[in-house]
Amino acid sequence: MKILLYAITLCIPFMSFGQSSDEVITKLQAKFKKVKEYTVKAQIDTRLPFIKMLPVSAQILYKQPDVFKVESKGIAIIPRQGFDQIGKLINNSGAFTVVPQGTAELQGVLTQVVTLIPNQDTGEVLVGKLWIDPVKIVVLKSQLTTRSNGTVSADFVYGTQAVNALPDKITFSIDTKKFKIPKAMTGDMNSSARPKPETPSDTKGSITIYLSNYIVKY
Amino acid sequence: MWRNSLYNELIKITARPRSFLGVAAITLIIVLIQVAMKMDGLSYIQFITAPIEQNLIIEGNILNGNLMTFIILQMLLIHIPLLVAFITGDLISGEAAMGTLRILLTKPVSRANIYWSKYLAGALYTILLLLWIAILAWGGGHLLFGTGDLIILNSDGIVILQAHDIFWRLSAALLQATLALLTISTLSIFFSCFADNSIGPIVSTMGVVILFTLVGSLDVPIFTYIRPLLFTTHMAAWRLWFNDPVPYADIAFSSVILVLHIIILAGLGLWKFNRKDILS
Repeated sequence: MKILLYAITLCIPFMSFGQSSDEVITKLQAKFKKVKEYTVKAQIDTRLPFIKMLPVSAQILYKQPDVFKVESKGIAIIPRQGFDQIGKLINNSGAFTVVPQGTAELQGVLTQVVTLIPNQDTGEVLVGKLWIDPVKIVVLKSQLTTRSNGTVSADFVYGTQAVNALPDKITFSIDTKKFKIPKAMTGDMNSSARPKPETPSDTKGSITIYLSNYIVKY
Repeated sequence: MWRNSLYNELIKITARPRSFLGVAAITLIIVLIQVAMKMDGLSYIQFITAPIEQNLIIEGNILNGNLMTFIILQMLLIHIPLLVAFITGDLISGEAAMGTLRILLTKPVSRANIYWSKYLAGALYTILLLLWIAILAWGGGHLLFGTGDLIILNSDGIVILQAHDIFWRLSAALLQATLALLTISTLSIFFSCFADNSIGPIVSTMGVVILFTLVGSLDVPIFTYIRPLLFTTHMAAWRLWFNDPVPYADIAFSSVILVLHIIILAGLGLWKFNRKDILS
């Protein structure tokens, strides 16, 4: 009897979802595939230790399978990886193996954590970890480790477009190397400022993208 | 009376071919830079932004008229002192060498009047030279590359300024650069008071600029206290107007140092000119 109780207790998290990781991923795939094309207005707020800039307005265009454009009148800075990478990875169902990682609470939601391991080791993404809301079927957090750019994690907040798994806000956490350009190249030859000792905060930053006015085509 | 003297000095400057050689050289350099950047500027920009683009994508028109103006100002403001010294270093010593200074001083005009008219004519030439660079760089840049946000590379990071936030900074930066170049023109006029040939003051001015720049760039502790007082340390203070936020205290300090140099050198020049023996 005791053994049965233990077994039931251990299974509660999975039972509460009532669906396996594979099922959640399949539903997520269906959501991603449903949206063929969308345009959205974006407000990009870049807060990196070596970049000083004001938030920039831009327009983002996505078209299946892999058209992704950011159009901006001014200069906008977005992460090289992590923006459309999840969609690309998820949409290709045979390309990865889903490994369930249990549950974790995020934004007040008990999420299902899964690791996606690409079946081929030649791609750009080495491993992906997703925190998925099993009720709304949306990704609340992602952590992608890529071959050329290390790990980029992103937090997603959803609003009216949650039905299409399209977020209203994405916050990318970025690890960057200490930015350094020779004085001869920058031209500030007479700058007498001594280099400050490097702190962990010098290499950590974030880019927050606020998305609004989606125009979605199915 | 001083207006007539100033007018005469301006005529002398415009009558010299070397005054226009500098302008022609600057025009040619700016046009060359703009054409070269129009043809292959993107690869140059990509080379510079490569460290950032390892992790990030920079979207938008980086290579625009505002960036071109900034690049040209940065390139030329290192070389303009030589062009300024070519003209202003010759204002007094050139006339001494030709023997016309003796005739000039026989006029019923005070030496101070002649000195200041020469000084103002030199200052006016310097200002017009800088203005010409700005007009050509900004106008040509916007014509060829359009407008856009300005990306500024500093050794410890980058600043991106929005297009509407640039013109006032550029204007202020030009005023700051004017102050720096006036220091050069004052220095060369100061040397000109001591010499009886044209080359001496020009070489001396450039020698001082090179020496002070070397002292300023050597990271030796003994120079730490001297460095902030050298005018060459503040020659590039115009760049500070493109920082965000603008470091007004640093700009004010640089301006004070440059103005002090101008006042002291101009005063010493006047003192020497008043006592100068005209032997030629």
